[in-house]
Amino acid sequence: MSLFSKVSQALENLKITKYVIRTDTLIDTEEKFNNAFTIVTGVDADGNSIESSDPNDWGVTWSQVKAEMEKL
Amino acid sequence: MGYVGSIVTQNVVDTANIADASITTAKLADSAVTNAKVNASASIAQSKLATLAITHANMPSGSIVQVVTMNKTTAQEHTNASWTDYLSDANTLKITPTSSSNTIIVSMMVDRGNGNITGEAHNLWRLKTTIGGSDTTYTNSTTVVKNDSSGYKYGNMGAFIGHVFAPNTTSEIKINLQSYVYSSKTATINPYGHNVGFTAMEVKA
Repeated sequence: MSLFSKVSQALENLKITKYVIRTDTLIDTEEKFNNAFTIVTGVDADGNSIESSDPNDWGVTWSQVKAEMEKL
Repeated sequence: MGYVGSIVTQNVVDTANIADASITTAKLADSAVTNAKVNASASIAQSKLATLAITHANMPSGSIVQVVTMNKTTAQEHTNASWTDYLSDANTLKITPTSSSNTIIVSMMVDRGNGNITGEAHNLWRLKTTIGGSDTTYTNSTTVVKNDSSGYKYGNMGAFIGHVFAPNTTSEIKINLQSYVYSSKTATINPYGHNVGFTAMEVKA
């Protein structure tokens, strides 16, 4: 089982784009989601993603993602 | 007082006038025995040689003088049309060359994919090295996969990715994998959280 397929499907349904997920475990709690998720806020001069791990920048919360996951 | 052998004349002692096994090491001057005096077939036992210290200096060109390895179970996915690191900076593979003349071989055995998609996905992949905060990148592959069946599926783009480079430094090098989503879809690395291996080898110039 993929560690994040439901999460990524939920994010797609919530129209969240330009994100990154890095995880070593199945994402099924807010703590795991917050540790795994970043949003890309821009691109630097070398074309690299600029990421933010601040939930205030995300535009989505674990509660929203979890609710969407439960519909899948 | 007697003597061994025939009468010595003109102070010359030839081989025949020396008794077998009578020359002791004390009769040899220090440093008197040269390499040329040792028979090529002498086959001197290893036990009679001092332990040879294996140093980089006495290894031939092409020798592997350092290997670092790392295993990870990190799964990563993103949707960005910008180069995005697989691993966080703290978790990258790190190697510090012993000589600035040496080259580095990097290999990564990691499941790369197109994300859990339907339709076509087109991604780019490259290695990134960071030395003292300065990045250098090496584009490795362009991957396209198309899933026409219903439902979402992970597409595998291959496991092996690697490069050989001459960093010209003896400072620490951080090595990471990056991907770039070229098609408004996703890029995925190791989505099932399996064990993946990373290796960096330093080759003597």
